[in-house]
Amino acid sequence: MATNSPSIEVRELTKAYGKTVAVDHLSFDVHPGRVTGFLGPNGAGKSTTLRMILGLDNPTTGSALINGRPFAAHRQPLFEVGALLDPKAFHPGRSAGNHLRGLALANGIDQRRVDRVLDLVGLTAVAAKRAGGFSLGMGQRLGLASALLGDPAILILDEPINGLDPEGILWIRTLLRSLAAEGRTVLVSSHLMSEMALTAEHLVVIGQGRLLADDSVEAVVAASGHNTARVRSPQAGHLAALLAARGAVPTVTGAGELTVTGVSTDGIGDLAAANAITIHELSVQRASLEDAFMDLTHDSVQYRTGTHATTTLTEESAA
Amino acid sequence: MTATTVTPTSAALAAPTRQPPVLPNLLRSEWAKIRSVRSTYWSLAAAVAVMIGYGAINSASHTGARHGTFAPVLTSLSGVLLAQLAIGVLGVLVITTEYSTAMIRSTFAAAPQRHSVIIAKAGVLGAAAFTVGTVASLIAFLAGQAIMGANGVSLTSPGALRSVIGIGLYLGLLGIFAVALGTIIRRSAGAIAALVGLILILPALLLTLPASIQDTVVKFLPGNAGQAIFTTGHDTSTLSPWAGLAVFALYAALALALALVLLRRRDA
Repeated sequence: MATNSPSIEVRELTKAYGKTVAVDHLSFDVHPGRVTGFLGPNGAGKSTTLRMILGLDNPTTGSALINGRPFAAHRQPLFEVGALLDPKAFHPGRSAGNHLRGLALANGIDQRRVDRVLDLVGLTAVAAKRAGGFSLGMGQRLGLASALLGDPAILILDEPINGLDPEGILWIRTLLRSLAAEGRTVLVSSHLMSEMALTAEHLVVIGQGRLLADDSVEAVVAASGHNTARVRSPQAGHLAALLAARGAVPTVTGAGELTVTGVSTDGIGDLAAANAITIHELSVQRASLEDAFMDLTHDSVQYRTGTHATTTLTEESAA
Repeated sequence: MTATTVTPTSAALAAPTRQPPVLPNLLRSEWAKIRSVRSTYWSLAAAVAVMIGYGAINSASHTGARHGTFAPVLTSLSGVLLAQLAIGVLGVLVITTEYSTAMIRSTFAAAPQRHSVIIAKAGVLGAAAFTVGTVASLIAFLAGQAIMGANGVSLTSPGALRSVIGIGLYLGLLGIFAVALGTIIRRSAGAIAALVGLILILPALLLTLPASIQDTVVKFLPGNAGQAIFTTGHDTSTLSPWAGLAVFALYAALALALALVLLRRRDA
């Protein structure tokens, strides 16, 4: 897995617009060989962070390094970092092919590679068409093509799934996973938790510009208080009493059916066996990533409201 | 995962050894970009059309005039006053459209050397404006003189060749000035308004000032200074041709310098 040294290092990164702090002393590493999901609600500071990593916005304080150096120190960055920041980051009057050609030439990349990435994202047929007429999904594909121009080892993609149809989503999910499997670093921002559960292996979660979690998808979900067990048993009443006596919290959710928190499924099974209780079903009800995410961001909002009560209104209106 | 699929790592390892100068690549990139949008062709075609057409109309109105009552060189080249608008607008748009569409982020994500990007852009636009401007002004001159018939002069007459090439130089510098202004202001409407205001409106407004101020201030305005290169009758209210062009070049250089300073400070 990701034992290599980090290819993206974010250190105490802070961006303030006047009194509004968009990114607040954010630190995390992104490692090669896996898809890292960069999650946060709208206005959490994801795009600002990505722009600072790419040297487009100047940090108020802190730094971001790519392969150990600031982005601006890379002379031919397309060979190292491919970025998709905005699905409409092209001149609407320029054709898709010419758009890519202009970017490719800036790094001395030849026309064959331009044709190759057009093919890779499925835009060959419309390469000569003006990009201004593209749908959001086609714009995403064009942005992805530009990110892949230099065959870079690092990909930074801001909300690449927005505007894609189901087929496109499946395509990009498979592509990102295979790019990561080839040993590349893939950092993908999203506010779609369910999509990240399917695409990412690791999550960096931020809220109001602050780091909330930096862990595997499993760990983020497991850390959520939402994990419950579902039990069906003809002796549900008896089992509920035994569970309650052990400090677990059983809730009757139907005839012969319990939802239990505060104890693992192993514990429930052992308890039932020891008391000769028949079990028809015993399953873990995993918290969805949405639940985990809501927990994280909810706590963050509460925390900020409690400690910065006087500034809450202005921060919310700015977000 | 097989060893052969890990191509990106080798690309990443190869990258640090690739350290060629960035400017040649950026010039090629900007050249490709400027050639691949229609507005370039429309603007340049408009510049050529008004340069030749306006000059021809003006020349035709002087076919029966007497020698010495008008300046035949300037008459045939009078279209430059309109052509400069087309060049100026094109210079502004090559950069402001990048800001209005977020293209600028794609550009800087491919080339973080922002100064070199803008210098390449200004260089390409300036070279295109110079080339097209010189050719158009030569055609306008030859056509205009032919229309004026007996009143026409040749390219060897005093100030003729200097004016023809001077228009190319003026339009080239104007293109660079416009790119700088567009980079500073970043919005199409604002930058075009600033350019037109500086080059056309301000001199016209100051015409009402006393002659002493005309002689000391107005001739140093960017447009007035630059236009001295293709003016044939010089007096105290104008700079000499090459001094005027030098002053205009200084304006372009200062605008470009300010643009580069702001470019470093601002978020893209």
